[in-house]
Amino acid sequence: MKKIEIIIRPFKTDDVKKALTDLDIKGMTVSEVKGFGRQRGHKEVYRGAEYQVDFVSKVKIEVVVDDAQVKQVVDTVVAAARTGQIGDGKIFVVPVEETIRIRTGETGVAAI
Amino acid sequence: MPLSPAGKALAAGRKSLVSSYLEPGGALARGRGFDRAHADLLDWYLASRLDELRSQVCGASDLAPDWPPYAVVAVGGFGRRELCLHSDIDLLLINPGDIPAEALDVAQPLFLPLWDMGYDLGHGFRSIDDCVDLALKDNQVLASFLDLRFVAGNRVVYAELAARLNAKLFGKRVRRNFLGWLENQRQARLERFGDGSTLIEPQLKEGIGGLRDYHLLAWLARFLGPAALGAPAMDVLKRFFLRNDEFKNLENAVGFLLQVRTSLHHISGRRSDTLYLDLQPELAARVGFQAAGHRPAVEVFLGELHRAMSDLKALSSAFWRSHRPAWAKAAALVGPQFVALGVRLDAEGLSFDEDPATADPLVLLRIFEQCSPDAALSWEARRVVAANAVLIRKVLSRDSRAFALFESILGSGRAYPALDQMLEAGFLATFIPDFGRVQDCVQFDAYHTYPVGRHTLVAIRYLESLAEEDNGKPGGLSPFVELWAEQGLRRRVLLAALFHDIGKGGLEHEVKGAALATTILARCGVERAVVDDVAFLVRQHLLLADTAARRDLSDESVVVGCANRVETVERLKMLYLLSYADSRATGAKAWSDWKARLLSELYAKALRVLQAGVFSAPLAAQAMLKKRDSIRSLAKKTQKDPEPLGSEFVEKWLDRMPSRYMLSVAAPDVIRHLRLIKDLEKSLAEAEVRLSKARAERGVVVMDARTEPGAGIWELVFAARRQPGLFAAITGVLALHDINIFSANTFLWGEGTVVAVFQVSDPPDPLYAHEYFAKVRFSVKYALTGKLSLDYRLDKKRDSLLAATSRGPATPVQAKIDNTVTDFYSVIEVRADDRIGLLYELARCLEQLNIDVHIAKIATDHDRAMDFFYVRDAFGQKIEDSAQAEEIIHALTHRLRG
Repeated sequence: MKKIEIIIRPFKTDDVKKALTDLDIKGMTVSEVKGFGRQRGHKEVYRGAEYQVDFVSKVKIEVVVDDAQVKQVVDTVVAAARTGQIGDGKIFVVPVEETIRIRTGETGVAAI
Repeated sequence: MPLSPAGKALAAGRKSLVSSYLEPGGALARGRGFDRAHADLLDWYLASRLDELRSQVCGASDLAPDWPPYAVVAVGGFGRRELCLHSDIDLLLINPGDIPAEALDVAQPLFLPLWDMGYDLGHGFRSIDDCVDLALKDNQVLASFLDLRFVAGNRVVYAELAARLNAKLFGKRVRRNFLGWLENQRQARLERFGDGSTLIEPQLKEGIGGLRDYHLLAWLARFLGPAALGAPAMDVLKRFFLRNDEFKNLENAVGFLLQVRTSLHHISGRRSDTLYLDLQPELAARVGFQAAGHRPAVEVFLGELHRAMSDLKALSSAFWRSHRPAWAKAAALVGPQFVALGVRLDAEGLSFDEDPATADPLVLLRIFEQCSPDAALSWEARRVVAANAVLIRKVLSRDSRAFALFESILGSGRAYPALDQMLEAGFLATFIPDFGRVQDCVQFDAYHTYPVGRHTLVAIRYLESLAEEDNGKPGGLSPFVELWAEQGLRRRVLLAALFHDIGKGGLEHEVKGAALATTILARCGVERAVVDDVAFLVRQHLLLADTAARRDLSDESVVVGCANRVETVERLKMLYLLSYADSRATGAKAWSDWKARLLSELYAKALRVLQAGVFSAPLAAQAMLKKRDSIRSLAKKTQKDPEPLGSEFVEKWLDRMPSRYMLSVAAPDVIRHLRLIKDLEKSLAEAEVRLSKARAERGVVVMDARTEPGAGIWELVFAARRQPGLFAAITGVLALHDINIFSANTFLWGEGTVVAVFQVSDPPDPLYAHEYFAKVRFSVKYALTGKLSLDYRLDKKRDSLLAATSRGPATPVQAKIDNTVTDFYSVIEVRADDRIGLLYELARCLEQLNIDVHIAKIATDHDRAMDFFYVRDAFGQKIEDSAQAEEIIHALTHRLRG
């Protein structure tokens, strides 16, 4: 099992969510985060004064999937979230040791 | 929660359905009809579960007969009784009044077991008022309600719901709103799936010709027909709209799609609607297809699938066009117009004014002449065409006047809409019976996007679109646009495009196709000269593409040989256009900037040969002298630069340049390479400070990266001292960095300096390209000095979770050595399934055998890699010894196994 952490532009949240549900991904966790990449934020002009904005708002979506689905999910998310401009985001694939469903006690892939 | 007896029976029943319908060796129809049986099983379960709950809640009291107070109804797919294996189940609990506070206690025992069993449940507990409100507010909900069906529980409540919905849903305003929404859905789907990019992996539900088309058809029919809920969708269509044969076709197509979808669910283990490439062969076997002659089972299956989907699409779009209410149609028409003799255009589309069987049969062609993106055949007209199939096949297909009319449509510049309608209406298959035979042929690989019929039409469309002058891409499409402007070529190129794949479905389809084209055209009374040209074009339609991609274009004999086969300038031009259309229409992998560039290089050279005559090319010696002079004069111009190229330096290296290099590289590029050599000398000098001379040479590599903006192709030039493993290291590093190599040329300058020119694809991140290539340079250095293990890294990359899974069929490696291609080298040709680092593996293997690679060309033959290596052995000779040749073949094949 792998956890796929997806950091994307906020306005792409719906597109990525739809893409994931089309793939029959049954659950996901979404959080609002801030961050920056190689470009180290961007310059903004506010009330006539330039200042450096270091942290950019992003949305993080986390899903846990079976190993066999990783490639498909990654490809789909990339297609849904890409605009081609700087700031599109990143995807991290992280191994998951174990999964448990609290209500029933199921473990493993069935609990995803 | 432990399952009740009903639940256990459901689980068991489902298991037995799966084993009898879907498991290999199961007794029943290989999945057909599973959806119906599955729905029936769930109906039974819900009724039995309610019985169990009734005895729990009421015991034996007299409340029992009236319990439950709510109804369990099915909507959506479950309402239509079409439950594929992992489809979601849309269930509603309908309460007459407001939802009671204990709703959860009531719903949970019903829903939870289904959840726990793994069913995807769309559920809700609603009052009748809620349902009606929601349906009026949200068109998606309305659509699901159109398939409303009683399953279990309180019939009275259901009847009330149905009555209320019937009263509200079919009013004028609601109807208008809903049908407008349907139209938008159609358009959105067309935009998303219409370009054929999903045809290699068909989308069974949402794709063009998928199950959605059937749903749209059913919903529209319900509004136009009985305007009421309750009767099953298929019955409505049969009773009100479709004739017997049409209905049978629809039922068959839908049944087949559902069957395939169910098997797909079974194989993937979850709800999935996309028929991925690597699942297709297994699916073909599960659904019961077998090989027929040359064609493997999977191709027969795909042919059937495409036929079913295009039938469904044609039926659905024709029905939609003709039957949607008047206010939805293009408002431009005031009344019926007479557009041609016997043909009428009105709000429903193009129709016949006279019956072709009794009047002039040519009207069957005249109607297609009037087709355009806005005007298509009406429902009635399609029926007439289908009814006259025999007339078309027996009479029209041999009538020269009919063919002349057909040709005028073909050359009109608006051929694509007409041909599209002809294909959909089944006219093309009967007018040219040989076309009908191949039109659904699908080639199973990741390369051919369309079945043959559609591919032919798309090729013609690409040709036609050349007439629109909207391409200003530098070195992009403009030569084709110019050629297309020569009107005299068009007729033959279009005919050749129409017939070029007509011989498919066996080996050597070009030869077969040429013969078929000759027969058909002669039979239809076309002039001899035109027939000969078209047959030639069909026979040679792969010549230019193959030569350009596989052979060394800087070799005069290759170009001359090609020119000889083409014979005239006119034929060359036509063949060039045809190659463009054929490649472009094959699929995304078949046409790229690189391919375009190769093709145009071959075309230009062959054109020169044909125009000026074979022997007019300047002799090699003269050409070299001229080149040296121009290099010298360009070098002189660098005197003012901060780093001038001194004349002593230039002369020293001019003497060392091999003749092949001199002849094939342009003078400005030579200057650039000379600068690179200067950098190399500097780097070597620095390294020699610390190490001995021999040691210093190892790993010192300089690199220059260059591209034209927008070209998609980079030229990387590496210069280094000659050392073992150089070529392989470069190919390995490029593979590791996700850069595709198109071609490689290595030149040995003098005794010890190698200049290697690689043509490669864009790096993954074009924004940071130079940073990327700098990394490449360092990686090459590390690979040569042992700090980077290419074998280990490439293997890790292949095993990564993100590596592409095997696509298409796996085929054995084929390798051979050919000494007849050129006088100077032996050509090793290797065909294998493409994979990460393939070129590296081959290069490494050759290097271990002490074979020098001078030129490498990477082409793709369908979805396999086809690599050509122009080599010499360690002594600088061709590989004449057959034993050695065999050993090389064995080594290469062995290296690539597994």
